[in-house]
Amino acid sequence: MKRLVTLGLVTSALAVPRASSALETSHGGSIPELGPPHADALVDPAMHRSWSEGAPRTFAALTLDAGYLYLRPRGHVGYGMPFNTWLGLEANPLVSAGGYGGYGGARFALPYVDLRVGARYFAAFRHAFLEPKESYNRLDLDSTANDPARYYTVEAEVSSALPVGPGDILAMASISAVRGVPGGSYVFEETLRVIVDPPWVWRVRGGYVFRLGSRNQHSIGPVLDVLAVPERDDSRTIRFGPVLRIQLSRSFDVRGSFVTTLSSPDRLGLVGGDFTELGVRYRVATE
Amino acid sequence: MLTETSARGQTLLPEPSPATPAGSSEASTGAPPAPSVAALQPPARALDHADDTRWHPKRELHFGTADFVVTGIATGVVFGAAVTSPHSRHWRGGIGFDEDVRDALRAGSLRGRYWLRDLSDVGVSLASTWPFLVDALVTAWWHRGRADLAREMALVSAEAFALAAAIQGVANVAASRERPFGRLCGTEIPNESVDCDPGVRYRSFFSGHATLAFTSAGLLCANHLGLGLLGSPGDILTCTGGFTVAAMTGLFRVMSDMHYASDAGIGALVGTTVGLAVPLLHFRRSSTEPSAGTIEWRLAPVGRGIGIAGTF
Repeated sequence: MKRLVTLGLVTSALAVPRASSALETSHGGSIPELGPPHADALVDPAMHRSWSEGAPRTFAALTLDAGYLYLRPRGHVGYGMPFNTWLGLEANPLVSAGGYGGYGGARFALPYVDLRVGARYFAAFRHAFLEPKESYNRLDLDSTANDPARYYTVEAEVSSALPVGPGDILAMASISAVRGVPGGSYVFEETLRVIVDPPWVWRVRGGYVFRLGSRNQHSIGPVLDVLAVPERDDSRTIRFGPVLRIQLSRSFDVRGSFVTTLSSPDRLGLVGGDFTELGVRYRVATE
Repeated sequence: MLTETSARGQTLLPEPSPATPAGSSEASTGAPPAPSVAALQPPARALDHADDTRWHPKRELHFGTADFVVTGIATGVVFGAAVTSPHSRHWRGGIGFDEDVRDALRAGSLRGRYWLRDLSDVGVSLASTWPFLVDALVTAWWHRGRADLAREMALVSAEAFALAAAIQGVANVAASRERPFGRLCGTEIPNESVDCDPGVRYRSFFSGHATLAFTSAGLLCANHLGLGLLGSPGDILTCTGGFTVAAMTGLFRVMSDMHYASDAGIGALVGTTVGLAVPLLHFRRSSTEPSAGTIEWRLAPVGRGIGIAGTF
């Protein structure tokens, strides 16, 4: 008897949701089977497939780069289309095995031209200020004889990607002023990855990336970097290598950079290259 | 395959439905899937892929609440070991064949040793990111369209790396073994250098690079051979490639004078064990392909009520 009562209660309880949903239909009968809807029919039309869609707006956004032993969150606030055409401010902490710091600045991302102006502070765990020399090797760079390096860099950078043929021509130029370095000392600039006799460093990058994929969403190609420190003689550094991006969605892409040093006054190995290998980028913004 | 996302960062690829064990609460706790009212809903793949073309692996991976706890604790141990100075009583010199191997393999010049050290960094970097970026994100999510499986793979990989690194970190601090190059501090290598700092110099046992690279190799083999991510021969090649990169990474650590052969060997053993064991412990039979002789229960609408249906 107890079992029968229990079974009846359970059956009644299970029947309630079914009965409730039946009341929502006009006739109370079974809903006709119309086949599965198309995937897009499930998507709220207010949602956008790409960051370049929708109306310009005030937004807050986050870019998160992660890979082997690094995590780089970057915040953006501005007006426009996030990650595409926008004006605003951006800032990010810098934390790595080599030290800590932060960057803040203004961003003007216009069609075909992207301008960035800002300042970056870095306090190194490992690298110290360097005695002036013509050339440095890894032992020099790893010396702990001097005080740990603390400096800030004021930087302006303009970049562009122009669609030409099956891909894009990449171009970038920047000028940096490294400040806060004691007189008579050099410093290893951890982001530019060159040894600097302060203050000036300039850099240009050119390249071509082929677009691949059903929506041309992926890209791969070679880039060439040239950097120079005017205060150092024969200081030109040339780097070359492939960069790639596999776009998995509007928010996720896998990126790789394998730009190694071809020519430099210093022998720093991978430390002196733009060799970030594989990493993932996640982007999110307010709608 | 289309892999765009919605504006809220949600993937438009089929998400695990309540009826999909990988996304269910039962799956997260490791318990067998139980019938639920949610089973009334058509599977998500039926909505997004009318012809049910979604790829089904040989097995599924399940990452539960306990795994989050284990991963969190292991990660804490890793950071703790990284900031803790090695034990003040140091272990110096090689054991067994260590010195003979060092003499035979060590690069002759300091520049050559730095170059080999860079190569080992490339190896461990590639090995450590491959299970997440290539296997989970690119292969499982983008190529196979299985966001749910990609997530589970990434979480299981993170647990394996955290466990392996925690074991290695504790051994590093406790053993406090001097790196082979340590005997050169004050001569060929200045005492006032990063390498001769005690925090770097006495972390030889055992090799973190070898541990992580072999953990990755174990994960690659378990995931590819256990799930059939690429099919043959891609899975075999990936597994073989993983162990090749790991072996080269360990070898470069010995050639660059950063570790003794015994450090690299123990690292390889621990890494392989953890890399294989962790995913194997998380495999479950794919619920989409019930094996012969099993009974699959489902709740189904009957008239104005509900009934239980079974597949025998």
